[in-house]
Amino acid sequence: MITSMKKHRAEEHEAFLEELLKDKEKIIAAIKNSPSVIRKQQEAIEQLSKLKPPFPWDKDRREEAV
Amino acid sequence: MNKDIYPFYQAEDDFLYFFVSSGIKGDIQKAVVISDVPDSSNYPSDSVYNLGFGDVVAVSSSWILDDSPRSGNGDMPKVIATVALIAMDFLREHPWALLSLEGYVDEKSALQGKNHRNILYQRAIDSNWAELSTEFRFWGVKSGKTEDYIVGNQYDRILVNFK
Repeated sequence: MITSMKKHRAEEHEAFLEELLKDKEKIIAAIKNSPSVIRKQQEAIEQLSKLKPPFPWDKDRREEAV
Repeated sequence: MNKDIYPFYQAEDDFLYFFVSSGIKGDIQKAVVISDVPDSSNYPSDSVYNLGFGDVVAVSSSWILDDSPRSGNGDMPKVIATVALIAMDFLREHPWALLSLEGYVDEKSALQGKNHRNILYQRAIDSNWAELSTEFRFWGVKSGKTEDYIVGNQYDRILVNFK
C-alpha cells in the first residue's frame, strides 16, 4: 500500500511538472519574474551595495593566488 | 548533508529548481530561484547570486513564486534541507559564484525582530557545520558588516561560496 501511495505521489509530481513545463519558457520567465523574486533581488542589491570593501571572499581569493 | 530531503528537478539551463513538499496538508509545489545580482561598482567582483524560495502558486493562468506562506505542512526541516542541498549543488556547478540568502521576513518575524526563515537556514548550516565548512566558505552579514560565519550567531544575510 505504501508503495502504491508513493507511486501515486510520483505520478502527481510528474503531472505537475508536465503541466508546469508545457509552456516552459513562458512559465519559467513568469516564475523568475515573480514579485517576490524581484523584491528579494532588490533587497540583496540594496544590502550588498552597502558593504564596504575589502570583501572577505576577495581576501581569500588573493591568498589562494599567492 | 546526510538528511532526509525531497527529490528536486532543475529546469534545464535555468537556475530554477522544483520540488514537492508532502506533509500533513498534502502536496505543496515549491521552487528555488537563483537569480544573478546585477553588478555594482560598490560590491563584490564575484558573480553574486541571490536565492529565492517559496511556493509555486497559480495566478491568472500563470505561475508565480510566493515566498510569504508558512505552509505548516509539518516537514520544515526536510524542506530546508532540500533548499540547502539545491544551494550546494548550484555552488558545486558554479564554483565562481557567491550565493546570498536571506529568509522572508513575515509579520510574526518583524514583530519579534527575528527572521525565522534565516534561523532555520542557519540551524541547517550550524548542525552540519563540520561537513559544510570543509567544502564551502560562509560569511554572515549583520547590521551592514560582513564577518566570517560563526556558528550560533544570528545574521541578516548569509553569503556562501565554494572553496
